[in-house]
Amino acid sequence: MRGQKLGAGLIAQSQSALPPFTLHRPTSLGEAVALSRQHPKAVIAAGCSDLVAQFREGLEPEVLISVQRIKELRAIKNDAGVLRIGSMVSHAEASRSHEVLSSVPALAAAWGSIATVRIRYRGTLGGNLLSRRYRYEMPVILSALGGQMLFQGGDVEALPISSLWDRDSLWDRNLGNVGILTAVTVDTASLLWFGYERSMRPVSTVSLAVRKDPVAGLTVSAVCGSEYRQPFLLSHTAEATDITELDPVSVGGVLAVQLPDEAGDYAGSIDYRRHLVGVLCRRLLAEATGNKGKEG
Amino acid sequence: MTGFVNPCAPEDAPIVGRNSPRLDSTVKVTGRAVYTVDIEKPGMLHAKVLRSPHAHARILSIDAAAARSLPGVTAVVTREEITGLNSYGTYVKDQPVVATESVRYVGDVVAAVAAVDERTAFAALDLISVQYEQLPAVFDVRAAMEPSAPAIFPDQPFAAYPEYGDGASGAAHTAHNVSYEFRYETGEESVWADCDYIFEDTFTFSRMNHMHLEPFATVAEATANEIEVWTSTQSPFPMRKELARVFGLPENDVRVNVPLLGGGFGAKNGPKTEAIAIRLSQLSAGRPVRYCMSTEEVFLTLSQHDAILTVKSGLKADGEFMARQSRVLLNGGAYADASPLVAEKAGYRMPGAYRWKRIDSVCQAVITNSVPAGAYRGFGATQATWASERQVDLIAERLGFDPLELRLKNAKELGEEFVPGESPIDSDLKHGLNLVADAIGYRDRTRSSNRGMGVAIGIKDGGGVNKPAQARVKVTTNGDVFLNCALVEMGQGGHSALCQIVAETLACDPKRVKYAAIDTDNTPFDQGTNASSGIAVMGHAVLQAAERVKCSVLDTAAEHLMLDRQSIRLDNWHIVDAEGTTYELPPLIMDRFGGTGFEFTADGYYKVRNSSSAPLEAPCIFWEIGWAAAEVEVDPETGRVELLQLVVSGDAGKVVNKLGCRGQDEGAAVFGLAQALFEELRYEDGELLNGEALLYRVPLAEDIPRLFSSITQEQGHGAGPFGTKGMGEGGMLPIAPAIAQAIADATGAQLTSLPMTPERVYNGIRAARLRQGGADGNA
Amino acid sequence: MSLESPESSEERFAHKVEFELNGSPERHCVPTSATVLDLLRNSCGKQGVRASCERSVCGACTVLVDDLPVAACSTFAFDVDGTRVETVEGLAAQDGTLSAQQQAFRECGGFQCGFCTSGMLMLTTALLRQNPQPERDQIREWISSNTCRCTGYEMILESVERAAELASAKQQDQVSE
Repeated sequence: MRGQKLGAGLIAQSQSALPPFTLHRPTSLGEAVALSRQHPKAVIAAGCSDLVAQFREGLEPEVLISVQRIKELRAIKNDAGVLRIGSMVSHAEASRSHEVLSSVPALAAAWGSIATVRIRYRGTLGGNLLSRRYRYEMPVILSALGGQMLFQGGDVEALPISSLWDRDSLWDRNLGNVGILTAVTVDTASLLWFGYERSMRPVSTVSLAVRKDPVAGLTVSAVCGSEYRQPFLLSHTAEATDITELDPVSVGGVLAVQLPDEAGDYAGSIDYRRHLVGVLCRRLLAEATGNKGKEG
Repeated sequence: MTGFVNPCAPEDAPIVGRNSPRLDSTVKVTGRAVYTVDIEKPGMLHAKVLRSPHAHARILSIDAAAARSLPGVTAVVTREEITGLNSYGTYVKDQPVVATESVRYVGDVVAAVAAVDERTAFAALDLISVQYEQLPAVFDVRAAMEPSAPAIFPDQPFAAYPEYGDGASGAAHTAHNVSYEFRYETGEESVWADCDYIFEDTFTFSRMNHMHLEPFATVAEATANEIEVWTSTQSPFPMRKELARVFGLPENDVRVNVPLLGGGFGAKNGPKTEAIAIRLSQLSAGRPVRYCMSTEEVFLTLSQHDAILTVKSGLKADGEFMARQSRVLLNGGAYADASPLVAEKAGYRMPGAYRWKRIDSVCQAVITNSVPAGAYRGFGATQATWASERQVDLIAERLGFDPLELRLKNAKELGEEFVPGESPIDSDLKHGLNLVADAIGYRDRTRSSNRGMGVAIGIKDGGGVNKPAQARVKVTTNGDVFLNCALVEMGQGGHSALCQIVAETLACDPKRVKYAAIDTDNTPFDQGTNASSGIAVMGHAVLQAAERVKCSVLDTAAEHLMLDRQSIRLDNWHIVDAEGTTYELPPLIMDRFGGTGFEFTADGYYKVRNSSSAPLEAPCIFWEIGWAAAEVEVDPETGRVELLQLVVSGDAGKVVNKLGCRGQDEGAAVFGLAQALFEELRYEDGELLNGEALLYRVPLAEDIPRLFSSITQEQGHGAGPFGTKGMGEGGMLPIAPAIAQAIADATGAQLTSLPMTPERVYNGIRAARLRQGGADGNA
Repeated sequence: MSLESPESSEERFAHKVEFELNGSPERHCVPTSATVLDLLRNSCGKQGVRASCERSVCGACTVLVDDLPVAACSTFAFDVDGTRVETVEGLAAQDGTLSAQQQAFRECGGFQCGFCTSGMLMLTTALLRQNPQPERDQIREWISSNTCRCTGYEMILESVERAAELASAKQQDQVSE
């Protein structure tokens, strides 16, 4: 469904009548970057699972650059404590990748659990992130891990995944052009633990990472996902040197109260959501620390 | 599920094809099945519509000049193009072809365009300018009934409704923004004085979309004088009548063709895409126009009724039910559609499966500025059963009875009248309750923490009210059979089952029976594929037609072969005489009729007799019963419910097609499961939050409990052919109450609203703990 | 990877697509915005591919592209250039003999209205190619990709189990021949 162009109502665009566009199918990243500079308003297309829906919601690009054929974007590397995943990597490929499995096995498991089997083969990392739908799970999973998006050919080189929900930012095409998302990096050197809890989906999901802070202590980052609200990043730095020193109950509580009032929605009031996020964080931390903590 | 002894119809005389795949299986597994969306005509145009962005607004002006002059556009329909056309609706005729003076919900159709392709149609829609003046809108049923609420229909639309029998009454426009009100009462008001306990509780029922996978779709070819449509409707003849009325044409100038339906679940009754496609075709010089909605538009076209149900029940100290009063408010949305009928059924079905000395029900369908609500699988009985069964559990808890025992104590006996003048109950209700309870181990359940079980029963009068049906059976010289009737195949397996009835009667292979294409010019009359009426009502008409054909074949053969008419029988298109000698029919027929032979033809007809003592014009033909038992495990910290076991059971009376019966019960049960736990249309301040496939959660395979089974009973008391009863809706009714009681059994949380979301369960558990703490303090 | 010259990677509004459909070559020129659903239903006449939600959720339009299940409604036609596409029409043998999956859905009543059936059959085909003997949990996971509004799923799950049985029996027959 989209708005009518004169504001007179709603129109249900069908997939069989999408407006045609100029199509580019570059085979190298260099070629793609050049095209993106040439057509700053072009839509970058990967697996297209979500893109057709966006067209039906009113997106009408003049130029579409399909990055399907660019092999470089399908690479996964794990070098010097940095996991680098190409934007064209499908969910199925990522969840089976040796590099992901060996560096952050829980990330592979989480990745292999999202969406459906059908979407996992077709959907890509880049598409999942840049669709910028609250409901999609990779932003929730990767922003707890402090993932960084790398771009080429636009006005920016890197952005944290959590910036996907920033207002008045480059995501507004009138304010700039992000260019082509090439990869996402995750720092694995300081990562002590990661877990993702989706049994309450679609009401709430929680991803949680524990890192050694560069200065001192441990930082726990949790991200709460839901259907109608953006993911919210919750964070706490504890004066601890070892993960087993974290108390799941108190840390869970400290994280949960950070959830802003606007996180309450139709599927869960803010009181319930804070309670639920506290419970889910506590459970993840209990797993992380092997320490059940003082049960609430 | 072995080890249960059902009071079964004799296994020794199964209907032919009982254990075989459905007859429509090959066409459906090869992708060759043809639905309305597959219909194409030479020169076909495509229609698209513009929908209201406002919940309630006056239309000040519409300027469609630019759209009309866009190359490729053949017609534009706005309120100007429907002058002189009538509005439609089941009892209340309030829905215009496109909006006239005002729009009444977000999604109301304002304008429609036909063009050479969809892209041009969209481009034309984008050129239409509409000026609206927003009006106050109302979404909540109670708020809508306040005198200060905006009147959604300032002028009362035309309405016609039935003459009810004993105890029942109905009227349109009885209160502010009420489209229809149904009342039923029986027994003396004084019964209340004999009650030891009286409890009043209020329940709320959520609203789902039908989410049939094939959207609403029509191809229309129409001139000012003649209309032909190919359309996805459950009710070809009511559609013909309504279209003839809307366009002011004789019914024999309106022809309705109905291919296979990709699901209906009640949604495909009454005009949806038809009138718009027809008007556009009329304005496009009679060229065929295809109007196929998208899923998002289906969400903005029809829904189930959400409801607020207040139930007051009185009983004796020993648990005997005495009196029940109910006040039901249905949210009918912006147009009445089938709301009057749903109100009638929701009100009438409030007694549930139990014996009461006094019943007093009022049900009102309320107009609000939301998507119109209409027929939906269960049809008022889902709403009624939720409140009725839930209150039985609440009462059981308050008085310390086991919920199952309280049900067994008060359930009606086989053969007992539902209410005076109505048909007797035709299933052993208690048998079914015990069957599902035992199937999950209800009585032996261990009281481990956070696990619990519940059992429930739902009941609805089946087969439609006062419904006639006609059928025709034809057999060619070579014994190839046609069945010609208007039961629409929408997934329920009705075509297969009816063909099997013909085959059983003619003693032939069911594969030799072809279900002829439905077209109102040639197909015998029927009132529509609804109310689980296929087997019990149409089945009789089909059986009679088949028997008459058989008689005429046997008469002809007896005379030709000079055999005793009573001693011969038909078998696989042979005559078999008393000695067992067989005679081939084709040569006999050629011999007798010469030329290209002959076609034996006969018609059948069926209708239940009218009765003024029956509350709803005529006694129902059968009772559709659903029994269910559920086991859950609840996470008390999060409120998450895991369904561990679900057993559903229906009574087929006698099975015509085993896979078909099973599929109906299981499919219906999963609708109930979804309504119980998560599926709902979500309105926030009048805005529909989830009117599209990604956000609207329907059950998937992963939502089905690992232990999920159905028990098809064959109790043998059905009034349909061979003792059959209808299936398809009963299985939905008891699911939500059974799951609710399982949650209560596990945690003490007594929920009264659907769906039972984690937050509601979590809050219910906290409330139960407070209650128990308080009760302990007061004890 | 591609025989095309860099210049030809730019096409405007129209696009040539060559692919293999159910074993036969197909060549079409379609608008750049054409989806595989449109291509298959309208250019190739494969009406067994059903359109429903049109946003890759329900799976009624599931077809196989290089053995993997794909929502035809949300895949652009240009993306199947050079691939192998399979639809429900390609399952049965030329003489009409049903495939193991088709037989199983028929026998076990894994369909009602039939609108999800093509997609469910293609999903089953892909699953059995990856794992000829799937456990119930894996079948549930795969079938959870697509929506069926009629059956309540249990009979579909049984159909997939039965399809695996029938397929392995067929294979054994072929081996013993």
